[in-house]
Amino acid sequence: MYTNIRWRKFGKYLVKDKMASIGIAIIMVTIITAIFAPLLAPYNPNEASDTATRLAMPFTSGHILGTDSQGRDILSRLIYGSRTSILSATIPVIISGVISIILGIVAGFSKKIGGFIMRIMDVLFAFPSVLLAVVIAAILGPGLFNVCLAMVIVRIPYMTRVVYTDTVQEMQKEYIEAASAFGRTKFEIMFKELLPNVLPSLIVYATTLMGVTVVTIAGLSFIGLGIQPPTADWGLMASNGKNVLVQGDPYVTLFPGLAILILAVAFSMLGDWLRDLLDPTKK
Amino acid sequence: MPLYLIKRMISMLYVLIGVTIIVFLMIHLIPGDTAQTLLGGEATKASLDALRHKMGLDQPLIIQYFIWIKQVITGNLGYSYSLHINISHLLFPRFLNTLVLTIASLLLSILIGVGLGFFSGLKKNTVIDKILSALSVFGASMPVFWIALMLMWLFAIQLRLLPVSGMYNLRGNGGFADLLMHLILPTIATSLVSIAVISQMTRNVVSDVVNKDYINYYQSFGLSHYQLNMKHILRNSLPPVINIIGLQVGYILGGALFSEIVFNWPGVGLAIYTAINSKDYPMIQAGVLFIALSFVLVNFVVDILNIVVNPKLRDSNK
Repeated sequence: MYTNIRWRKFGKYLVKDKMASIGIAIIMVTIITAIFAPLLAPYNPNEASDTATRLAMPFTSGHILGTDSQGRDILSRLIYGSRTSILSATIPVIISGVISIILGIVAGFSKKIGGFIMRIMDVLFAFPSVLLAVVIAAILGPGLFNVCLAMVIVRIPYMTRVVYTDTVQEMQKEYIEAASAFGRTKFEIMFKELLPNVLPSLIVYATTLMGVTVVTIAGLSFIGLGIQPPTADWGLMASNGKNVLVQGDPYVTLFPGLAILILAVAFSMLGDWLRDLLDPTKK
Repeated sequence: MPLYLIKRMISMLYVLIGVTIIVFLMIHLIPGDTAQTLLGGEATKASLDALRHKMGLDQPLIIQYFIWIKQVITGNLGYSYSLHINISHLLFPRFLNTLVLTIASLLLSILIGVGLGFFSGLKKNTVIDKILSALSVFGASMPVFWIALMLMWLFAIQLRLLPVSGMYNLRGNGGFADLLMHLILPTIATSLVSIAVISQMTRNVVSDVVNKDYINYYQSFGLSHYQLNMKHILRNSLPPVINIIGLQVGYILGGALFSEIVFNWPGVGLAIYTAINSKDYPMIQAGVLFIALSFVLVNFVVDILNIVVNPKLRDSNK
C-alpha cells in the first residue's frame, strides 16, 4: 500500500516535468527498438540490399535515411545499433555501481581501510577518464566485452567517491550511533542502515553517467577499439562515414551521431530530474 | 612555506608514484611476450634470451620498475617499436602541439562558458536563460568525434572557409595566422562539452549568489549594476567556478584525443592513436605518462589557486 502511494507520487512528479517525460520516453523507445529490432528493421543491417545503390541519399525510395558506402540501409543499422548502445550504456554503469557501493561504504565506515581505498582512487583520478578507457581497451584488445570492462574500471573511482562522501556524512548521524548501541554488527550497519541512505544519490549519478558512457563507448568504437565491423553500432557507423564525409556526403555520419547525442541527452534529462526529486530544497 | 602547500605536495608525490606504477605495469599486463613480439615468431630461443637480457626483462619486476623510472627522470622514454626512433624525440614536440590545442580550448571554454553562465545566472528563468540552458544540455552530451566531423564537413568541406586538417598549411610558410586558421575547428570541437558544463555550473553558482543577503545589502547602497556584477557577484562566484574549470581540464585532455584524430592534429593523442593501431606499446606508455603527469600538475595548480581565492579552505587545511 505504502509503495503504491510512493509510486503514484513518483508518477505525478514525472508528468509535471516535461523534460523528464521526454527523456524517459526516448529511453523506452530505444529499449523497445533494441528488443524488437528484427521486426522493425526493413532490411538486414549487415548486407547490402539488392535494390540499393551505394551511398543513396536520405528519402530515396525504400531507404528513408539512405544507404552507406557498402549499400547497407542506414535506418536498419541504426535500429540494430540501439542494441549495443543501450547495453553498453547501462550494464557497465550498473556493475561499477555495485562495486563502488561496497568500496565506498567500507571506505567511509572504516578509516583504516578507507584511507587505503581512497588513495588508490586518487591515483586513478590522475588519468583523464577517456584516456584511461582508451588505454585499458587497447591493452585488452578490441570487442564489446573488453570495452565494457574498461568502462567498469574507469567509472569506479568517480562512483566510489560519491558513495564515500555520503557515507562519511551519514556516519555522523545519530541513527548510526543508535544502531551500534543496539548491538548491530558492522555488516548490518553498513548494508542495512547505511546502504538505503547512500543509494539515492548514487542512482542519480549513475543515470547521468549512463549518458556519458553512451558517448564514450561510441568514441572507443570510433577509434577502432570497441565493437568490430560488420556489427551495426552507432560509433562504428559514424566512423565508417568519415571517408565519404570528406567527399561531401555527411549523412552516413550524421544519423548515428544524432542517435548517440539524443540517447545521451535523454539519460542526462532523466538524471537531472531524479536529482531534483531527491533534493529537498528544490521542492 | 605554508603547511597546506607542503601537505598538498606530499599527496601529489604519492599520486605521481601511483601513476608511474600503473603506467609501468600497463606494458606488463599486455598478453604475449615483448621479446617475441619484437623479433617475430621465427626467433630462436638464444636471440630471444639475448634481447630479454638487453631490455632488462629477465630482472625482477621491482628492479625493472626502478630502471624504468631512472630512465624516465632522465628524459629517456624508450624506443618506438614501429617508428624505430627515440620516443622522447618524437613526443616532446608532439606534447607542445597538444598544449597549444588544450590551452586554446581551455581559454575558449572559460571565456564563453563563464560568460554565458554569468549572463544566464543574472537573467535566471527568462526566455534567453531557458534557451541557453536547453542548448547546454545538448552541448554537455556532445560526442566530440562526431561534432568534429560535422564541423569539418560544414566549414572545411562545404563552405571551404577553414582547413580540413593538420597544424600548418604544407605549402605555406607556417606562421601564426596559418596556425590560428588550423586551430579554430579542433578548438571548438574540443571545448564544446566544457563550454556547456562550465556555463551550467556558473549559472547555478551566480543565481545562488545573486539571491544572497549581502548582494541586497550592497544594492541598497546604490552601487551601479556594473559595479555590483563585476565586483561582488563575480568575485563571490569565483571559487566554485575555478573548481569546475579545474575538473574540465581532464575532459579537455580526453576530448583533444578525438579532435587530434579527426583533424590530424600532430599531438600526443594522435601519437597514442597511431601507436594503438601498430601495437607500439612503449609509445602508448610514454604518451599516457605525458598526459597523466600534466593532468596531475594541473590539478595541483587548481587546488592551490582554490586555496588562494578561498581563505576558508586555507584554514581547514591547516
